[in-house]
Amino acid sequence: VTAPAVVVVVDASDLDGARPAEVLTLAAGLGAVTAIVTGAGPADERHDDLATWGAVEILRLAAVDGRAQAAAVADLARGGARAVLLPGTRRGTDLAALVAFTLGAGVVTGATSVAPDLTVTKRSPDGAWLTTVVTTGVLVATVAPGAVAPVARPVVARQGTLAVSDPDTAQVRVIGSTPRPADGSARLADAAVVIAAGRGTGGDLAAVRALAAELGAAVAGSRAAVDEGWLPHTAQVGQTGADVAPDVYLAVGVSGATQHVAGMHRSRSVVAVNTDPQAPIFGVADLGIVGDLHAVLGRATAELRAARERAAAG
Amino acid sequence: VVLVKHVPDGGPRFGADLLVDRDGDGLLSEPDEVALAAARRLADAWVGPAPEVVALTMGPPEAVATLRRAVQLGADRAVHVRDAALRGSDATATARVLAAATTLLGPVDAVLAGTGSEDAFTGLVPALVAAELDLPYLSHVRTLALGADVVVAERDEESVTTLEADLPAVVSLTDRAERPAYPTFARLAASRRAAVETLDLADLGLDPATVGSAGSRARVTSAVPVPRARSGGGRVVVDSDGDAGAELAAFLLERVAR
Repeated sequence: VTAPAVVVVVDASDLDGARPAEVLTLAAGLGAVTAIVTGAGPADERHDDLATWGAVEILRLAAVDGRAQAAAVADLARGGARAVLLPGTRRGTDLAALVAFTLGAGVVTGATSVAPDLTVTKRSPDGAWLTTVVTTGVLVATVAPGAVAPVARPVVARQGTLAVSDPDTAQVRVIGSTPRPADGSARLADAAVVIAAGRGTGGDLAAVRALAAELGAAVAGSRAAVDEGWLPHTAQVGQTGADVAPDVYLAVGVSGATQHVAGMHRSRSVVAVNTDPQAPIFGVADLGIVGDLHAVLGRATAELRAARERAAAG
Repeated sequence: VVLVKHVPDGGPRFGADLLVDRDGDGLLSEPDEVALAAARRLADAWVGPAPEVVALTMGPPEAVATLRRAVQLGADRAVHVRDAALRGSDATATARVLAAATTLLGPVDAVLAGTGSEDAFTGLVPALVAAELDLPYLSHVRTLALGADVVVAERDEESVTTLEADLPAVVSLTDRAERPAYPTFARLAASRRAAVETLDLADLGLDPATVGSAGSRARVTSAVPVPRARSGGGRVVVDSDGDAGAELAAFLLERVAR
């Protein structure tokens, strides 16, 4: 077994989404990739999927505690890896911090690309600055969601288990875990279209939901909308909620506070509908519509339905 | 101890030295308000003598405004680590400084923080402080209860995970955890009287070579502002009778593969 050039760490709970493919695509440009899967989750065939994106070795890591995970990842990386890359999820960020600490290495979050010389490109949280960052030691970086278009590089991967050297280091005990019921809408993290409702909807989401159903879009919300209880907190987009980068982000009645823009500014296209022409969201929109959301969304939904029916009729 | 940060008003701007310009107007990073409110609530509900809530920041002289705000929002005490050699500190160097200051404050029950700062939002510092102090780290929690020597917290994620650790521990709280407090008149008055204690590197016993630009392991090598105008030219149309809805439909048909 040769030492990996790049170590990618994903959580089993990430395997249903696009995050592993994005990180592996970025990693495969830097050298031979070993993918580590932490946590319990989908069966072996989902692990095999990682080979589609170029992982030549796939290792399971059973440790639950972050410190034990970091110790095992760092041990592997010390074998000569140039970089350790993780998805920019909450778990990914926490583990990146611990891996960097253990290695005495520099750490960068929210990478949108990594050059062959390991220079990282990223944006400021409000999207207003593009920066390049270099680190000393092994590069430890998290990859911004939606930053990379996955490119398939199918290989036959070796499978194995990464040993935990000191399993007794756990400081945090998990004493209960209950899955939340799914609400049936598209997964926010991977939806091609996200429609976000803000305070301006007044809590009447019928027009938003109708357009979302027509488009197969995920319904999200600003912090104001979630605070009001109009949407579950898992639907919140922004600095303290989800970070999304869909093909189209449609902000409806969302003012566009910095903390909201932080979670959606990497979207490929942004459309904003708002009654206030001064709303900051128009500053990041490709198309801004000043008007009543019920009239605008109602008309758009009807037009899209008509277009779909025409197409179906051949 | 509540970790707070003074952030530039209106978002970060990079100077010619490729560091974030911290000389202009600034304010308390919003996610920290949640941690201050939680600390205040926990201290007030404490069985026995209420523990002190200490707001701790590392930052330029201007950060004193943020510490006064922290007192308004619930801190009993304000501690400011300031030293010219700290400029340019990355997340790892910042955590080293905050951990050293926390140790100097004496035995602590808990270190609370927001999930990230508004200006950089790496979300790394609470985890790195926990690592520096060799304390348990409970991240992104939405409920938090402290017992005499344990902390129980619910992680804010798609499944509800309940975590437990021995105190002292480091905890980051999401904005679901607590409604930020509104300052009372008593607190507004207290913030004007509050003495802000300052510490420098010598007080912390830290070598200047281990902090600031010199001690950091991540360095910005270029920073350029990105024009705000979007690919569609940032066109804004004013709707009359839903006509713009037709334009929206055309835009969606063009940009979304169905």
